[in-house]
Amino acid sequence: MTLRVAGFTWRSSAVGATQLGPVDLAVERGERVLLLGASGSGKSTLLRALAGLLGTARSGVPSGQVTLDGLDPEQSPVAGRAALLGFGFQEGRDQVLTGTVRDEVALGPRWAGQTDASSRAQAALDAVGSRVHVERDPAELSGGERQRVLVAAHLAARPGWLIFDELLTGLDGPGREAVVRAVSAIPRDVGVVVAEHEWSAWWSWATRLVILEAGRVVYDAARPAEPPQALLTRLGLAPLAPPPKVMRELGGTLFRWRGPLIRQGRSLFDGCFELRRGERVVLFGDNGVGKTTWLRTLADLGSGAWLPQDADLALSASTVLQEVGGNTELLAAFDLADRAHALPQGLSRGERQRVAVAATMALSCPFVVLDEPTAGLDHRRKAELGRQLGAYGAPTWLVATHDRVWGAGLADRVLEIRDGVLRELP
Amino acid sequence: MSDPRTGLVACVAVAVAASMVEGWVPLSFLAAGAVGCAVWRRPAAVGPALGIVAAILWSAAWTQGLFYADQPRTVAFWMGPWPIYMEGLAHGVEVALRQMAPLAAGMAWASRAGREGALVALVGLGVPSRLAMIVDICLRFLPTLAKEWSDVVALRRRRGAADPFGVLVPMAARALRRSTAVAEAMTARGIDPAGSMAQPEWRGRWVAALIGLATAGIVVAKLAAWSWAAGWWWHPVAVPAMRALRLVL
Repeated sequence: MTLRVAGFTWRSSAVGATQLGPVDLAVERGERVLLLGASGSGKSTLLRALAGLLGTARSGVPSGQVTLDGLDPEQSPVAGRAALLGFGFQEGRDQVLTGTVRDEVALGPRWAGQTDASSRAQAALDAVGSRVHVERDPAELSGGERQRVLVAAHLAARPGWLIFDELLTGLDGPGREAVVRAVSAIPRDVGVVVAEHEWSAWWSWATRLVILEAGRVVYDAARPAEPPQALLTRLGLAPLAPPPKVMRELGGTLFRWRGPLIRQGRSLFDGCFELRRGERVVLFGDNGVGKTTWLRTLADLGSGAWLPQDADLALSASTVLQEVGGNTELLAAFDLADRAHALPQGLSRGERQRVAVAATMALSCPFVVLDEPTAGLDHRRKAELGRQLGAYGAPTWLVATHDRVWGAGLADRVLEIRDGVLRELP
Repeated sequence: MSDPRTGLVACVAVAVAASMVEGWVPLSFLAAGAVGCAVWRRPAAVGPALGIVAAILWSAAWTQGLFYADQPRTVAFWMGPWPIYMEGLAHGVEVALRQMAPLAAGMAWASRAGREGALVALVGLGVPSRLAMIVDICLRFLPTLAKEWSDVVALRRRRGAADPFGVLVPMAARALRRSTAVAEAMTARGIDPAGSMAQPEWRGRWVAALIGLATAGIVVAKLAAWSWAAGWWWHPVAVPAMRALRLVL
């Protein structure tokens, strides 16, 4: 019972995309594989090849073999595929297909014609330890709870293998813990492959470590007791030290805000805040505490530039150069000089994120507000973004992030929303 | 009537009855029953429901009162230079009741069934599962699209962008990426819209069958009443029944 790729290569037709392979990899049932690789190393492509999903969404030419118990997963009937192998990925909201937790988890078995779909769904929810009410809308759950429900949805099909790509992206601390607990609770006869930039959360869970570099496997062995730091650092997979802080003179007050913050008649949190010219502020807080609503309120209040979590929504120009207002210096600073005349929406995810941040920085606003700009970035890209935020564009900014080490290393001041109160951390 | 399929059959029956029944008295009973069901399902909706009822009645009565063209017609009163006809007002109320009954029944069913119930009901009653799934997924992402539209408009306003079509670029790109993600999520979970969805046991199927029979009976009776009124077919034995039917059909 093996999930195997043998001599597999993928020549993508997308401009600038990583070419994968040749890759040889075999995953047995019961294995816990942690797959690491920098952004663009080919992790997602390899996982989709394993799951038989390359033909669904990607354009390119495959060669070599992918077999699941001797069969090609891409050629197996869709209706029965979930009972062989499940695949979960980031952007949990886009994977929610129904309006209640109960139906979401039972949906796969129901479409597979299984009459015991409801009991399977309940068993899967129990297995991952989900305690949310089954009548709740999964799209309205916190990120961690939603991913846990989606893990249960895959588990309800009773697959032999489960593959997860960046499940923890955009999740707060409790959400990450909940998802790792849910995946840890998957029965031991199921083979599980997890790819993640924030790999430390999965370290003790994994039994095997596989590392990709530029589309090729450069490490494949039982998970060692200690992470291979030299290799991880070389590939940009280890957390990097933040740039040294430079003491700067702060200017006068840009604006003041006094709480509480009200949304749909409900008080989200209370507190007061004052932003000074030249100040760099980082905001922490769990999912759902009101960070996004507050950031947008502040941007409106002080006429600041604002970038939402989904940075793609900010890209509407026909070239990258137009998107950043013709500022070639900013393009060079964000490593985008060679993409100046490319269509912003046609770039890779990491590049789109950089263009959106650069475009927001380029606006002539008194301050900039960025909502989770590090979501989905590897450690090297995060360090680069920190350097760029420190050196270029608007001198005053407010950034929300779940990455505490990254955020605290950059900011003059650190705020946190917790238990309904906005407070400053020492 | 907890099974969404039975509820959908009942909705179709109300719609058929509302288009067949004549006279404002039986129509009032039908509409009141449907509105009552909708409000009973969601008591918090009493205010909006009354608002909708008033809006439908008001608009239908006034437009019919003003533009009623059949004869005979009697001027009830003048609104400035325009006559408002008594028969038009009565006809307007009837039209409003006819619209209100299926609308309220549909609202009652939708609030009870939810999206999944609707999917089960549509597939269970023979709508192709691919079409039912498309409708369901579209409904699922409507609120998300509305929020993203609002974000894009706010972002562009902040950037001073004037081109109104510029909103479409990020919306279209996001929609394409989302459709890919949804396709992957469906495939990965074994959901093949070309296949068939396992239907849960239909506990209320006898109730649905009775409702269906009653609806068919209304249609047959209406055809008979039309036939008698037009002089195409009638039988002396059936005349008393036909006379009774003409009171409501």
